[in-house]
Amino acid sequence: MFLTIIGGALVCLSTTLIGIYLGGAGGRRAKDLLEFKKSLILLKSQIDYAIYTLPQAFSHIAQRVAPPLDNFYRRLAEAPDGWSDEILQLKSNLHKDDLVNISLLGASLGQGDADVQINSIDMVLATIDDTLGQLTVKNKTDTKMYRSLGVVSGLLITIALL
Amino acid sequence: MDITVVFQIAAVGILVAVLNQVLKGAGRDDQATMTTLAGLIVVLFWIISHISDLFGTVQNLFQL
Repeated sequence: MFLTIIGGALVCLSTTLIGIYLGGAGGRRAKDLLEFKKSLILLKSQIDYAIYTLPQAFSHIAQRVAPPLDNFYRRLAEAPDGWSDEILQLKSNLHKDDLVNISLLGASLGQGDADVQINSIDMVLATIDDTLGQLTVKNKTDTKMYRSLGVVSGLLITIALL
Repeated sequence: MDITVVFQIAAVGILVAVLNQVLKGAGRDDQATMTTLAGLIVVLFWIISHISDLFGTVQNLFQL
């Protein structure tokens, strides 16, 4: 009986933790998107006002953003043409859609004049803002739902296994 | 018949009802329906042998 209670408690605890983890996934994605947005705004200002070359701009941004973006920009400072490849290999909480959207910027970075590049960055920033707006609404309901599902499914599994 | 089965079924009913409300609140009506269905199937698995016993008893009682 004692072992049954411990087993049941462990099952409930694990499902609750899984629920909390899944509930926080949207928040982590939003945080990474915000960090990326911050880095793109920095990139835009480096191109527009500081008039740095791309490797210089990437190097400056690498010092001002949080992991894993700092390594991403550090690698780009060494190979500025690899934006699209590097972004698809980035290990973060961003979804594949976000990465594909940001990777499109690689086609215009380093091509054309500063205005073309700034317009491309603005376009990606607008898409990120849209995604962030949708995420804010979705996160509220999803976080509550995943947490409740975690607790209740743990109880359900425990009762089914008793 | 062990009385704990009745309590288990009652608990599953309550928890499935809560899950149903949570999923419906999050706008996931499809998953809510599937959860209710899954709960029903689990409970049916538990009681299928008891139902079989019941029919057997009824057959014997009325010598059908």
